[in-house]
Amino acid sequence: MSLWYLPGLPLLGALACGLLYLFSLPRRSGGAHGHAEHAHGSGATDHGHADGHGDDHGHGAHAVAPGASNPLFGIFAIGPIACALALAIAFTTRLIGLADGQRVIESAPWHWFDAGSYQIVVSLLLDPLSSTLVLVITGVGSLIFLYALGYMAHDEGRVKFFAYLNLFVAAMLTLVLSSNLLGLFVGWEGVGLCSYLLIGFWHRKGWPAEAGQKAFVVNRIGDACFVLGSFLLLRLFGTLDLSDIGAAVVSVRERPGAAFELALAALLLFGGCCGKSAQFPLFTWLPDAMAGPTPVSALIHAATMVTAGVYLVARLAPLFAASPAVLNVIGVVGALTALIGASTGLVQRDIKRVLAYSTVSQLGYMFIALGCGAFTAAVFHLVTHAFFKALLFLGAGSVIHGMHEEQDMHRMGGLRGPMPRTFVTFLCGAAALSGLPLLSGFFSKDEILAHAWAHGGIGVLTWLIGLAAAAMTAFYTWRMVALTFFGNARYDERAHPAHESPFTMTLPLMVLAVLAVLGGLLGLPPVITHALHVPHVLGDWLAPVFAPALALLHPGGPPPHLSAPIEWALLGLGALVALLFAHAGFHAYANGPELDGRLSAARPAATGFLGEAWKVDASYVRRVVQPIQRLAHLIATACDLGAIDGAVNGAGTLFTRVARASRAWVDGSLKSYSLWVGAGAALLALWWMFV
Amino acid sequence: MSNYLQSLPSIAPEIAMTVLLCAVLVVDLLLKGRDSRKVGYLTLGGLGVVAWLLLGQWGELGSAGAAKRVFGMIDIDRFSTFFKLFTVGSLAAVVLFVLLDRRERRHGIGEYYLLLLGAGLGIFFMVSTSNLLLLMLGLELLSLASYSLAGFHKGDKRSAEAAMKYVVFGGLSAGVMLYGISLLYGITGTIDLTEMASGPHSLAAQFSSGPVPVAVAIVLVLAGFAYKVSVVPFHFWTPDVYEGAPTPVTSFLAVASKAAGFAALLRFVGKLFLVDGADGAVQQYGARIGALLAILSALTMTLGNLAALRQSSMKRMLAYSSIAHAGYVLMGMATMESSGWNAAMFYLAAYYLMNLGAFGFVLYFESVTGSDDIASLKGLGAKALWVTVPMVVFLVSLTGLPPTVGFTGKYMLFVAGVDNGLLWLSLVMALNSVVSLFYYFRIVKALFLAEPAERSMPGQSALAGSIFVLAVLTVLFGLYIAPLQAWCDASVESLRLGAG
Repeated sequence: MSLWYLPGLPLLGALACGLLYLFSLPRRSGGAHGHAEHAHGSGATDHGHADGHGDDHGHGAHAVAPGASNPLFGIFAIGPIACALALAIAFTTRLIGLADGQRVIESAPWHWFDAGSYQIVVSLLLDPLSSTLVLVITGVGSLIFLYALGYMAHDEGRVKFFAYLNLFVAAMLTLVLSSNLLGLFVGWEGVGLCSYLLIGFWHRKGWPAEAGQKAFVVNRIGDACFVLGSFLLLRLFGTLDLSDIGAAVVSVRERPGAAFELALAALLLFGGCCGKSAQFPLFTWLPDAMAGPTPVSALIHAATMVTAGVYLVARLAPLFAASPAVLNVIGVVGALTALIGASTGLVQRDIKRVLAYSTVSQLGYMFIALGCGAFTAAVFHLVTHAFFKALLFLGAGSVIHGMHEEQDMHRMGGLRGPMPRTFVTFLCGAAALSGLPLLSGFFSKDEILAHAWAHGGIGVLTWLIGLAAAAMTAFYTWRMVALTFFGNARYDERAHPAHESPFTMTLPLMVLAVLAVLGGLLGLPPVITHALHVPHVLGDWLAPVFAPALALLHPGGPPPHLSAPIEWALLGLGALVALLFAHAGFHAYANGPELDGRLSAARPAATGFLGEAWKVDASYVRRVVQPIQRLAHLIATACDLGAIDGAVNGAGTLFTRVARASRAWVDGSLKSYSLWVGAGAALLALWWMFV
Repeated sequence: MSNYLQSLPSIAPEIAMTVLLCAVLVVDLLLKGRDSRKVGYLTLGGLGVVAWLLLGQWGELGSAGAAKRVFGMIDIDRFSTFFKLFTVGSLAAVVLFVLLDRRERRHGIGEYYLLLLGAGLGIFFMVSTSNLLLLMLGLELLSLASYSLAGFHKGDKRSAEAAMKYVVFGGLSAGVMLYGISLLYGITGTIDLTEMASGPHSLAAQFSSGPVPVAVAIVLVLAGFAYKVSVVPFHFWTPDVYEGAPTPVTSFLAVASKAAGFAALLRFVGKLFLVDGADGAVQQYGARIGALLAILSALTMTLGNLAALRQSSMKRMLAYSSIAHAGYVLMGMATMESSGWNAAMFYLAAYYLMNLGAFGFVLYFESVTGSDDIASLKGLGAKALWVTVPMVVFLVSLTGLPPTVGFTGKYMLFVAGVDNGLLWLSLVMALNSVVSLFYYFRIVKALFLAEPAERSMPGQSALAGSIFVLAVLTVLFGLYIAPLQAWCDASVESLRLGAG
């Protein structure tokens, strides 16, 4: 069984769903599917999810979903990822069976193309790090696919939706499995494309299409940095193979002048991570990305794709470890992002935007961890975050579904009655996110903060910011819980009664809730592992992967552990802050959202500043977008219409005249043709002899 | 005698082809002209066998020193096998086109396949010999079959006119070429290219002593080839014949026949001039030929593209476009270096794929609209996406845009030109590609940007399927170029080895 099956199966699923969709499009006006789509958009069978809809919840009857009635659709949609999950488990079991230092499974190499003397050979590589990611992607992915089957059950484009979703999984698996930076980039761009397609999935509403474009354009900036960084690495190392780069870092750094270029390459790659993982200053696309269907937000914009940047830094850990200055930059950017995200989450009204800003800030935590060289802690938080944030997003989706597409928390309230299963599972996720003691988020966040503290220097600053962000996280999380599930119902209960979601949607919630509660067992803090004589499961698993980077980072042997009392103190402080602010957030909003109104009346500037994410977006529009638009307008009128179009049209006219003239030679008579042959041969012979 | 028998397996594909030809003749006679489709299926099956034999031969030729000469005149090497394989492929496509041509009669056209196979047999000998006599025989076999094919629709005035022009023009060119060959024989005393290139009486030696007769002889032979591959100014027959001939025949002439001409030209020039470790005289002499080819290339691509700009008939337009493409291939040859020749081979392979597809498209729409006028395509783009989307792919490839095989080929030609001091020609080619975009995309414009037409499209799924497959290959080889590149390199390499 080759590793190629892992990305290959979802790719086949995407193809199958895509063909199924194309072949079952209604053949109106001659069967062109472009026309068929327009016919749908304008006709009476308008989209089930359009704004303001919601009278009949069982709106499946009027919208015909092309391909969904085919009995194979369910198999095409869910089958590939389920098989991929089984394969991933099988491969990981095989990996566990190998000796400690040799846990690598490599696929047959594929010779892609040659560029001059440089051969591009792509192969897939499974080691503890990528196997962790693969398990998260296929595991959480399977649950979300199952959920999406229920969530999208009334959408006429659901076959297309699953085609995109499968394609995304294929690209994401390529990203984490590729042994080569170019292959990784293929996956990197693939997930970007799928993200764009899925954010704009309901493009007929208008703003999702714009949100998709924004995500794409902002990511372009990061991707340009990524490509430049790759070129620099190719120049420095002569290869794009990830493990070769990691192995050659030490020898390359010895070269004169190479240290700066190494740092520059690392910084450029980190620029790519800033785009994909929504770090300051490129995080602005992620909140807008919530325009996509909620399963997409859960899978792509919380659990998997946005963690690609974390994966890249972890994968190239030796490269980053060789330039401590870049690591400091990463830590500071992460801390700043965590702070911006958490503080913005405090005042949002849209439940999905709260979660989006929360994702931004949690990704910031992961980069704080990377910045102080705690690669394991970053991956640990990545895993637990995937559990609880996917859970929260899916829970929010269940709420939105049950509330008939309502996303404003001010118009919810008291939902614990009608939606008991969603409520309980959402509580587990919220508790994990806010870092309440003994849940998964508590342990992973604590490990990051402990490493930041132990790192010293700039680490203490990031520790402080991280702690402040943790306080805000607890506050906004429980504000969200209170506004959604407690208090009185602030919607018309009789006209639109809220209802619990179907079993296909609540089952994934329950599984994820268990994972969110117990996920912390993967990485208990050292004081507890010492006391109970249990291992740090994830740490031991990943240790061989990060050993070279850590050796580079701490040339004098591993740094001493924090002493037990300090560690207990940090744990206690974290627990105290979380409990205190969770309590405050819950009680401030338990009876309704009145506090929001009072705050914005009392401090309009401050709430506006927070509400718009520190006005980063607005300043982009003013400082970047508008000047570029003005320049573009100038170029369009002066250069393009005047100079270029003039030249092109002129050339066209010239060629047309020449062509008309040349047609006169071809009069169809054999005599003139023969003359040309004779004359041509004679001219050529003359040229040969005399020129 | 035993030597003779031992050599027979080497020409198994040719023998199979001949047997197939006879079988087609006999079966057609037995059927008494009824249901010629059966003959077509027989032809397809037989071509499959020939292709299988050729593939086996290609594999055997992989080991070093496997290339050999049998009967003193037939060279069995990868170069010839490469072209034979492509010939079989395009013959199969053309036979399919004939079978799927809805306007063609169903009965009494058995000789259609017979003539196609005859032309194919001519190509087989033409591409695999360095004996000028056998070359001429192969060329004539191809030409005679082509003349009859061009006039296959005897009742059609344009078809008859096309055949007439083709015969007269072909006869003239054959005469010119034979005259050149006889001069070469007079100068060197041999008709074998390998012997001509070496020895005390070699052409290079003769050239340094007296350049005029050598120049005249070479130019006359080149003129013969230039006619076959429609290089300006020997191209005038092309648009008339392509337009008048039945569309499957046009695709055969444009693709298989033209590529065969190039194969013979490549071997002729390669054996005489592309010699490893050549001395100064030969190099100077080769540079001369290179310069000549460069001029012809620039003329051909520019005039071809300019004339194509104002054509309203798709077949005429593709005829001029095929002239322009001949210019591109010549550019690769003009470098007189392996890299350029590899690029030329690659471009020929690309040319096979995209032109067969484009002619398939013409056939598809001709059978619906009854005309090959671009204007008649208006608004039909959305009616048959399985054919029109592939056509866009072919046009993109013909223009030389990524991600198609046409782009890769042009890119390789461009790089070869720049590397070998033909920067000016590379620029001319780039400009020409821009010009060609204009007329190729008139088809796309007519298909997709006009008001949708009210016309029902009869389903022709088999034809659409074969066009679609060609489109897939066009994109596939544009993205995954390594195998095709390796085949081209191996072919050119075998040509050089044979010359040494």
